Amino acid sequence: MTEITLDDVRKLLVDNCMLRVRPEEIEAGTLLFGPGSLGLDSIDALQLTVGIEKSYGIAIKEPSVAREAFHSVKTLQEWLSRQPDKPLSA
Amino acid sequence: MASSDLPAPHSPGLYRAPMFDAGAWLARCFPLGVIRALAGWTGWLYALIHPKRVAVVQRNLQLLDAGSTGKSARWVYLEFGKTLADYFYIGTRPPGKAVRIITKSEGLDYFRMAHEQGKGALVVTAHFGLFELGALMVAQMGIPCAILTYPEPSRALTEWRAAFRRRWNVETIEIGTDSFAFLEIAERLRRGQFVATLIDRPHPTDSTPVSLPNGTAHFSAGILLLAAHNGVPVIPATMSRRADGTYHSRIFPPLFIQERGSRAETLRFYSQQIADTFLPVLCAHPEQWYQFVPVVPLLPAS
Repeated sequence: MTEITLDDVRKLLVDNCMLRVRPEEIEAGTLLFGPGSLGLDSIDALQLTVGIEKSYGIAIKEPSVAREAFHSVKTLQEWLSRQPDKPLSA
Repeated sequence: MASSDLPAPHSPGLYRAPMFDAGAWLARCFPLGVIRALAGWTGWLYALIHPKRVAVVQRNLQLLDAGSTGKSARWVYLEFGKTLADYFYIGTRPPGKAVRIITKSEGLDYFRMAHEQGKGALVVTAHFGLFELGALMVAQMGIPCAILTYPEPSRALTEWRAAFRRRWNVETIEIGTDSFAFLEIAERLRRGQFVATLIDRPHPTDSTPVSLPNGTAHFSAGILLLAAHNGVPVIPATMSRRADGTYHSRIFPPLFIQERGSRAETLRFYSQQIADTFLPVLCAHPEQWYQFVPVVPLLPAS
C-alpha cells in the first residue's frame, strides 16, 4: 500500500476538477458533493475517477464504492491509502 | 427570462402513466392512420390553448429560423401528436414488423463497424423525430442497446417507459441526480453496449454553448468525456418522419473525442461539431424538433 497524503488528494482535486480554490484552502473534512461541499458535479466525478486511475492505477467501477470513497477529502485519502499498489501503465 | 416565468415542460394532467396506457390501447385497437390523425389534431388543439408553452417552442425554433411564428410552433405540437401515435404503434407491434416503418437508412455501416470493434458506442441524438425508434433499430441489428433518461415526473411513468422499451430488448439507464451514474454507463460501454442519449438540452450542472444560425443554444455534453475516457466512438444519429409517414434514419460518421485544451474547450468543440451535423436535418424538419423547454440558459428564479 502506498501512503497517500491529504496534500496528494488536494492536488488531485484541483488538477482534475474545475475548482477555484488553492489546494491549501481545502480542509480534510470538506465534503465533495452536495450542500456546503466543494460543489463537485457528475463531470468532476468522472474527471476525478480518471485522474485517480492515471495517477495511482486504481480503477473505480462500482457506484457504491465511489459514493463511499468520494464522501469527503479525508475519506478519499483514507480509501486511496487502503488500496493495494497497482502498476501504472506507461 | 426567469425560470419562474416558464410553464412546466410537461402537462401534469397528460404526461402520466395512465395516459400512456390509453395511448397503447388505442394503438392496438385502431389503424395507425386513425390514431395519427387523432393525435395530430389533439396536439394542435393543445397548442391553441397553451400559448405560453407555444412561445417557448417558438423561441427555440427562432434559433434555427428567425422567421418562425406561433403557427410554426403550433405545427410542432401537431407533429408531436403524430410522433406519439407512432411511438405507441411501434411498441405494440412485434419489433420485426415495427422496424419496417423505417424505409430509408443512411450510414448503418457506422453502427456495424463500431459494433465489430466490440467496445460499445455512445449514440447522440436530439429531441427530434421518433428518436426511440432508433433504439429499436439498433436492437434489431443485434446490437445491445440502452437509453439514458432522466427520471420522468412520476416513478410509474419512468417504469412504464422502461417496460415499453424492454419489448424491443432495449434497456433504460436512469441517471437522475446520482453523480456516479456514469460508472454504470462506462461498464455498459466496456461490455460493448451502445448507449443512446439526447444532447440538445441544457442541464443545471452541464451546459455547453453551441452556435445555431440565429443564436446560441446550450447542450448537455458532459457525457462526451465519458466516451473519450472509454475510447468509444460518439455516433450522431437522427430519425425523421418522411412525407409518406415512414421514417428516415441517418447515422453520421463517428467522432473520436480527444482533449482540445481545457475540458470546457473540448466539450465546446465537439458539441459544436454535433450541432453542425444535426443542423441541416433540423432546418429541413423544424416541425419535428420537439424541444419543449428553452435551450438557452435561464436566469435563476427570483
